[in-house]
Amino acid sequence: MNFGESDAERGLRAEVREVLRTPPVRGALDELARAMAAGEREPDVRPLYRAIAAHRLFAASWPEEYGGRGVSHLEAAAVIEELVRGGMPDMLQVLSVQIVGLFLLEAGSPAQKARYLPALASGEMFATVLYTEPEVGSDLASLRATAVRDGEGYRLSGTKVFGLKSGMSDIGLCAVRTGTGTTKYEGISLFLVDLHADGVTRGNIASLADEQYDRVELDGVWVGADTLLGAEGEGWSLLTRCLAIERTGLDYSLKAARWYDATLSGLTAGTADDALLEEAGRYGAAVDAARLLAWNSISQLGRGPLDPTSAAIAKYHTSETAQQVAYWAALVHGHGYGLRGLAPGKAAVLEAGYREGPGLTLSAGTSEMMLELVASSFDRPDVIGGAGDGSRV
Amino acid sequence: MDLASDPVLERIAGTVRDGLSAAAAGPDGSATLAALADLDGFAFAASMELGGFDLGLSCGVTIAVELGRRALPDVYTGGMLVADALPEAGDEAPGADVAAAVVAGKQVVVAAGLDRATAGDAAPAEPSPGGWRLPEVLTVDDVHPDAAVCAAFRAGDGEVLLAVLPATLWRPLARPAFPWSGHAPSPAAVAPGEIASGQVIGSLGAGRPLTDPAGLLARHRVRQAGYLLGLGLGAHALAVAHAAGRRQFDRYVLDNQAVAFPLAKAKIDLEAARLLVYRAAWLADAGEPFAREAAEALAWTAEVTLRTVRTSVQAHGARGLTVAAPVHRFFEVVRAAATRLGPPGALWRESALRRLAEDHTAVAERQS
Ligand SMILES: Cc1cc2nc3c(=O)[nH]c(=O)nc-3n(C[C@H](O)[C@H](O)[C@H](O)COP(=O)(O)OP(=O)(O)OC[C@H]3O[C@@H](n4cnc5c(N)ncnc54)[C@H](O)[C@@H]3O)c2cc1C
Repeated sequence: MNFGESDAERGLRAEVREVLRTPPVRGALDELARAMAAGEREPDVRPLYRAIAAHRLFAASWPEEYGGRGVSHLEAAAVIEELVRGGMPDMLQVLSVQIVGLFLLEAGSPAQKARYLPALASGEMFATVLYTEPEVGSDLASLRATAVRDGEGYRLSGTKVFGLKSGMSDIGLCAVRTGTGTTKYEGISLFLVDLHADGVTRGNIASLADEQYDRVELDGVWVGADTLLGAEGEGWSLLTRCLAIERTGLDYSLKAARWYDATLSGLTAGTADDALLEEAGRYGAAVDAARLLAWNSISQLGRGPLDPTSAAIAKYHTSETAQQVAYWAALVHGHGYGLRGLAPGKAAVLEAGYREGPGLTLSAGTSEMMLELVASSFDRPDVIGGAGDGSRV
Repeated sequence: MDLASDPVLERIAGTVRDGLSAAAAGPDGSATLAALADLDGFAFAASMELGGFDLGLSCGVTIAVELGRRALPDVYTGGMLVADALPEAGDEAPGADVAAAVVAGKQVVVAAGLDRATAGDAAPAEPSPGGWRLPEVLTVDDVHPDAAVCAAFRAGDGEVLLAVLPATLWRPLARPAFPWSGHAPSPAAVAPGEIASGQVIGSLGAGRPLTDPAGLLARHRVRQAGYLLGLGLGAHALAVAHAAGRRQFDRYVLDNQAVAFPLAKAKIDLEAARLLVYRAAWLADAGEPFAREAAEALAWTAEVTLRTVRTSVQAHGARGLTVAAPVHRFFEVVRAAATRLGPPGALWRESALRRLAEDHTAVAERQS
């Protein structure tokens, strides 16, 4: 275990801070801030992303041929931390690069990688995730959307809900049923759907959070066979692998830290009573632990597949902590976040955090599903004395 | 930051665990002392000058975890506090003989008074011609008949000092805390009395939080957190094993979410504890500041382990309260272990004050 920063990580962080000061990036950040201040809930982040991507920092862990720098997952995580701390909203980047892009890197064919990855890394193309359906949430394997063979390709039909950023995206990683088997886990396939294609209708479902849910209708949308990921009908094992990638917890840990720092910025030793100090200490440690758990799962990424239990642990703790901090902030700073003279910018961060918080413990697998995963990993018969992960240090 | 598990520490953990497997559970740490001494365990984390291998605080934590994992009496951390205070002492230094005996596995030391002294509300010791007069009773865990005591006390000027007192100074309390089971160490008392200046081995500094110039308190906290982490892991493993084998309603008890989820939550909290504890130890070994991280590692682990042990006893049903179920030992031991260095609430307040100070320092730096 090494809790320090490598030279490469330190160098990349410094570089990111430089990039954030360059006029195109600074300008795009200022434009975003202006839009938010004017009350836009979901301003277009794509110009900012492209300005950052011009420095090959958007998908830094990807091989150079795909627009990355070939740095380790840990170094790429340092880049993301620095970008987010510098004010980059991360949701579309998480969806495009950290989820769909990484999935393609793992499971895509060489042709698929060549076609999509450079475009995703440069910010030319964006991607979203289309799994959930009105009747199908946690029990994803029961999904109903279908794909049927049609000539050289397939026709996709169904309704996908509660995704994010479909309006700004060009492709969707979509789970559908291509057949049935003896169990519901068979016959699931994954496609990369062109969201500009005929038969795709994109709409919003209003939600409490700034980021609105999407509803994507697929009405006989034709896709070529070359958009199928992996083998037909065998999408479930790919999916479970990909779901772990969504759960490193890095994005949630950054939200937890942002909300905690904003909360603390309005406190001083003189104005906080003992009870408040106690909570500030406790939440501070929980936020630190969130970052450590996220980095613990990222540390595994470079060494082989991410252990689903570690990912579930990271996802659970990071999202629960971020949510708790957002609620705590509302209590600490009181009505309108005005009790302790918080700076207006920080109050806005916390106000939005309160509305975003409840989604964190639902997206990318609910907290209950994470507890299920952790419980199912219990080493039942020989746990006592068995090495298990009890000996991990 | 690369948090992949450390193979060297894993090997040490395995060796210590194997070595301790022979030690009988129970309040008397004689067998634990012998087992740990047999594998040179007291030397692992001690300085070379004391005859140790200098493997660092991370290694010391690992040993403490393994003791906790079986709820064995803590024969380790008090001795390491003395070894830390006297890492380079020549033969002449007060307590040097005790430190050397600790590292050789021949002397158990138990720490006392750290809860009161660090909280700042301990009555100051009165200066006397030979040193100080301890004004109040200190309680220690009676884990070994010949244990020396490393007592923290507040001198008149507010400085908190550590003194090594011989075994003859303390005595078991008239009424042990757990007379019915005998599985947890009973508290014993160090009577108010004289402390000679020749018995003082180090200082934890002054002020609130204590300045702790040599990091002695912080290091001790991290090891204590390790012991607590072990207690949590051990109790949790017992609960999972029990619930996975016990059938009710034609299914295993563990197959109910109401049982499995609290245990899953405990596992998550313990994993967070593991990282917080090893981070603090790593920072110490790297020569970085780690006072806040040490306080938080201890407070987090104390709270999480108390909850975990409670959950683990519950998962055992009525059996968990009996002497036949090993989980009951954890329930007994954890109470003292969670508060020996002060209650978690006090540690959290300390950590928040440190965070607020850091925050404002950072702001001041940015502004300058
Ligand atoms: C902010 C946000 C972003 C999202 N982004 C996307 C996206 O990009 N793409 C996408 O496809 N989807 C997305 N989702 C949807 C998300 O994946 C689903 O909300 C999630 O899978 C849960 O499904 P559900 O909402 O239908 O809840 P349900 O499955 O109906 O569950 C309701 C409640 O019951 C609990 N529950 C269900 N089954 C069990 C069980 N067996 N044991 C214990 N408890 C159980 C759940 O944990 C939950 O608390 C997003 C959701 C949110 C909030």
